[in-house]
Amino acid sequence: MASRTQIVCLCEGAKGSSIDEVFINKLIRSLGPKWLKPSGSNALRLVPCGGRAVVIEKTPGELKSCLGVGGDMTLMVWADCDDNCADAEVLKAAFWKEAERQGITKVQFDRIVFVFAKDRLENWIEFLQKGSTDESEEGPRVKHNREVANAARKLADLCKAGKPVDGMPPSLQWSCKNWRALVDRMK
Amino acid sequence: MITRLYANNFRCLVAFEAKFESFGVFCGPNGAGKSSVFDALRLLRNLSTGDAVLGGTGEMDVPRLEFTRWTEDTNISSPIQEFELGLTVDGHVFEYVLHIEQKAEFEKPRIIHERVTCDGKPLFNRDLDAKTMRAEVRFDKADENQTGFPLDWRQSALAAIQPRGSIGKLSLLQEEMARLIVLRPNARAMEPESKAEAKYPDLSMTNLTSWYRSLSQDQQWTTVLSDSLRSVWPDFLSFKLENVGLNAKALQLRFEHEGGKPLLLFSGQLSDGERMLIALYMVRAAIETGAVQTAFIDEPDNFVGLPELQPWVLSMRELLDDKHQLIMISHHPEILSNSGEANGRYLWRDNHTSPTRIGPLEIPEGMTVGEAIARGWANGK
Repeated sequence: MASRTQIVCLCEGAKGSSIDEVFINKLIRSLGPKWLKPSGSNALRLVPCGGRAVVIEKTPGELKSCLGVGGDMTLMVWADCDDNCADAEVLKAAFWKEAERQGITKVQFDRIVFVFAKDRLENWIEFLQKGSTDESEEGPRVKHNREVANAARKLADLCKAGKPVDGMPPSLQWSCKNWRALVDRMK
Repeated sequence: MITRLYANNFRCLVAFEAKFESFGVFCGPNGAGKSSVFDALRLLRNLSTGDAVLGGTGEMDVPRLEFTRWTEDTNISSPIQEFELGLTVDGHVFEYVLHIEQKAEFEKPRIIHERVTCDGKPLFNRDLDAKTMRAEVRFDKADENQTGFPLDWRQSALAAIQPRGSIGKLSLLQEEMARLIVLRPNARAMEPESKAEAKYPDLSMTNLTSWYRSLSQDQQWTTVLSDSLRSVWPDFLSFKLENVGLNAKALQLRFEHEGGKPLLLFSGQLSDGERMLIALYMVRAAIETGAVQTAFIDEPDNFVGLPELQPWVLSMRELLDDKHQLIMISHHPEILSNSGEANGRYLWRDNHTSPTRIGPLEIPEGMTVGEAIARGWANGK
């Protein structure tokens, strides 16, 4: 029996050969947050949007839907900073600007769990596979989804171990901080 | 991994060529030829593994050839079907070529040409000699002299040949073909009981329980399947093959029952959708454990509830690489939108007397795949 979706993830995906969905799906399911009960296969729902601009535009409406459903519904937003955003905070400000325009309050906005890669998730995958990456350059394209899923599982293992990890790229550190804040909130 | 299929004079496939990546979804209107592509692959798979012979009457045999209908009685009509299959296996590039012929309705079809190359070098060759009417399989020995053996023209040489010495690499291709499954699952046709093990599922997965009997001998497969089904049904505990008669076994599922004994349900007592989910996750577990390497599934979305489609598609996608492959046919917006436009292939025909064409799926900006296909705005140019 399918349960209710409890985490909605907006991501860029959809266009091109996106690896986002496979990475996010594997990561969250491997993390297996304890507050997801009962945990049916649809506890996590991914919404590929087809680009960052669409994610920004859709986020306020999706947040309203999630808040409307109530309970511990979580909205995660996955996007890439790309060249035109200096860092994650700048991109988050762009999301806030649109959310405010669509009538979202700051308290509501702060419930969103943002996960921003610098350019692409490929840098994170390179770090997870090799132990280092340079986020000032795009990470190498990953050819196969199995590699993507293995990297996501590794990140979940690191996260669950809860120990400091050397050489973590800044965008991953920033995103992990947001995830940990969610874990604390759900305790 | 299957990389290419060429088919000519097979139903609506005329000089048709499709290329495959590790993941893909075929979409397009009814009658476009999507299922014919899968049927061509199934024909090649069954002949090349020896599961089928031409002109036979067995369940998997090919009793007669299905030619392109609209060319009948024209000067381009031909009694020959041509197939080519490209594969990469363990870094080697294989090509399998098969030409089959049926001159008249009352005659049995036969193989007139068959060839396998590996990395551009021939492994064996077989041609029907029109004078002697013999079809000898020829290949080079280690000393570079040619040798050969005669073979029934209803039977594929790829299935019959012993891969030794200079043609040892043939075993890679044989194994790859054996681990290819082509499915059009039908939950209502899945038989609840099994009289014997089945190494591979049949087209509709009617032999689901028999396939389970075979796969469940691998403990890893059973564990993978049970774990994934527990994510679908948190109250699922385990499977059991229950004796229900002489050599007959039925698949039974145990579900948690709070405060009581576990609830036991035979697969026949589940809903169509639930049986379909078992079938789909059996395929997934078979890919994860290597029992299957390539799965072509025609409309896996039939019977399955909306909440279950995305989790299954994503759980399949995470397994795919240059050894594990999934190609689907679907009309379902949920499958299409979770597969990514870049993985879509659009198939179409201009009318009932034109051949199938294929191209990368193109969707107008700002529109979902499902919406674009429903409107006929998607194209494959």
